[in-house]
Amino acid sequence: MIEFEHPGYLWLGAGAVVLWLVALVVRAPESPSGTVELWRELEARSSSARRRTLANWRLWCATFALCAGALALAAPLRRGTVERASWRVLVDVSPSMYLPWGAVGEPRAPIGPTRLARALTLAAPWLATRTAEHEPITWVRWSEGAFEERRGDTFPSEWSSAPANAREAPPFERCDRAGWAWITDAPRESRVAGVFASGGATVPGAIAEFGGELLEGRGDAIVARPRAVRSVVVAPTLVAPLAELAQAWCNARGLALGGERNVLAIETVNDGADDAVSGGRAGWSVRGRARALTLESDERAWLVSTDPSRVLVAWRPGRVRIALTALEEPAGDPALFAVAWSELFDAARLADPDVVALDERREAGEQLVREPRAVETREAPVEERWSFELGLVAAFFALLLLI
Amino acid sequence: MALRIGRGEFTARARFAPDFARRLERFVARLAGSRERREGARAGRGSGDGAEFVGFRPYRPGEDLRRLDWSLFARLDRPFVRVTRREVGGEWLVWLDASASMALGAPTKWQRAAELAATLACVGVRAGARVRLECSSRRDARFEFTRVAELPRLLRFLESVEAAGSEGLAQLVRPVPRVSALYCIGDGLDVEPATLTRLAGPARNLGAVWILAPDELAPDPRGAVRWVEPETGATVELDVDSSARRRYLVALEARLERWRSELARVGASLVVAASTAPFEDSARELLGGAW
Repeated sequence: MIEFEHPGYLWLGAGAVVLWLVALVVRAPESPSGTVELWRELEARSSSARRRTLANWRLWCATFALCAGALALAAPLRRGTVERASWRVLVDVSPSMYLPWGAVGEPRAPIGPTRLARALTLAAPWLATRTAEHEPITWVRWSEGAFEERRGDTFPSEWSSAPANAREAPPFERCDRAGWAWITDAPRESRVAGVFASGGATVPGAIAEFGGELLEGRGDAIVARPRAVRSVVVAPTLVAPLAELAQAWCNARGLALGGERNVLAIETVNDGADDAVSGGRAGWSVRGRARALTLESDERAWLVSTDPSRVLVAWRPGRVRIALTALEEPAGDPALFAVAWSELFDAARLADPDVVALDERREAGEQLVREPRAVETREAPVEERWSFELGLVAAFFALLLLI
Repeated sequence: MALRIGRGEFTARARFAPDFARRLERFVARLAGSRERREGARAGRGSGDGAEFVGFRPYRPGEDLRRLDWSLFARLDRPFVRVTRREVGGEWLVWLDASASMALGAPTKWQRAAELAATLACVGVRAGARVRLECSSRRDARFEFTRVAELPRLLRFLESVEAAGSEGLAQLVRPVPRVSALYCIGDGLDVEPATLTRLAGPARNLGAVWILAPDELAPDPRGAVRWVEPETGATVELDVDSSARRRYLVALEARLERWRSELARVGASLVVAASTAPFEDSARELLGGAW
């Protein structure tokens, strides 16, 4: 792309257009002659006398002179490929970010907006500048061992509420790079990444659930109090071995079968014909029959059949769907079979939103704002003027021709 | 000076300077003296009334047999008649192209044409001829000049004629059996040489004078020009550079050379004059050898 140091001079090029319009509109001066017939003969033999047409070389020269002059005065610049700075904003979505923020040292418990909201507020001026500069922003969060990204100038609204299940803090050290900024609560050390840390005082509250009780951290003390019974809904059509396994898991976790405060629903697929399937995970395999199960967008397959290729079990937080309609005795290690299902139910059950680990509730320290360093782009500042001399020389010679 | 009335309409009238009649008289006298010196004793033998013998010409059927030279007929077995000066003088006819293109130039071509016509009229009358002038612009624009004393009236007639319109020499061309000398004055653009050579005869002086404006004789390179034809208003737009000028001059010379060769073939002469040149030069060139 060509840029100009003085683009206003390009309007001189319009002079060429005017020149052509004038040449088309304004007629040559008239001169009466008794020998017009001879001139007409010359005109007919075009090689002997050029008609006054658009091919008039003086007009071409003047046009070239004007264009060359305008180009020379406008001083074209050649820039390197302009790459605008781009930014990646790593959002810490660990449970502490969704705790209410309070200034350190305040005697009362925090009741304000979340630490996440506070950190975003601190980052707002810097983000506004990036937006004004049309620098693209990519929002990044760490989700179950992978980075999840959203592009856009504004913070993804769906990340404003706490995830269904607790998520671990992102691997900040992997994101300590130019062009990165962290939205977090603790004032973390970074080498080049920017940090917008909300800080925040300790937030008392439930730190764990144990059987039928909740453990709460209150300052230095931890106290236990009963919690409301939570339940699991199990579909009545669930094949018997799995229904028994779910029952055992509920018992072990202090959960009731059926009820209002459901933390997990174990559902079955009831439509369509079933086929013979076989599948397995580490250390065990099963054979049986299953109906077709179509994965929904937020579901992940947990158990699949290889022949035919079919999803047998899928899950997402709060729900497990099982397509098996009949199940033979599992082959392999029965203990691994039970542990695997138990881990599935544990992963799928919704955590008590009020329960946040003690480490998450601890004081995050003072707030910190450190703007990030931009990635060095390949943009060449300015710049090589080119064709200036060429333009002037061309204009000079064209004008000489005109004279 | 040409006056342009509207698009393609050019007109001009001749205006004779107060000293024109004196210049004309002096020129005619000088021309006559020159002729007399050239013809010497033979001219002196004559009475000056135009009856002296000047030569022979072939007999034409229907002519008076008394004029036949019988001795020559006996020797050559071909009939010839004797030609006298009076017969050479006889009747002169001057055709004037008074079309709009004659209104060009400064002074105009028409001015020079009128001066030259007056000169021919005076020379003809001095030679004993009756001179008739016909202008192409109007059918009634004719004048018969028989005495030098009528010169002021002739000049007034010429001043009354307006060079205008599209009628040129072609309008006047017709058979003229009794005319002993026929002169055509114009710019030679609306007739072909053959048109005039058909009018040539053994006992007839035939001459043409083409008067061209300086811009027609040698146009200056000036870039784009819209040439306008005065008679029709037709235009030709050209870039007149040195190359176009050179080619124009070649074309013009080719055309004039064609005229010269065609007229020379029938013993006639062509004079090409610039409108800026004095009328005496053209008249001397035209009459110097023939009269």
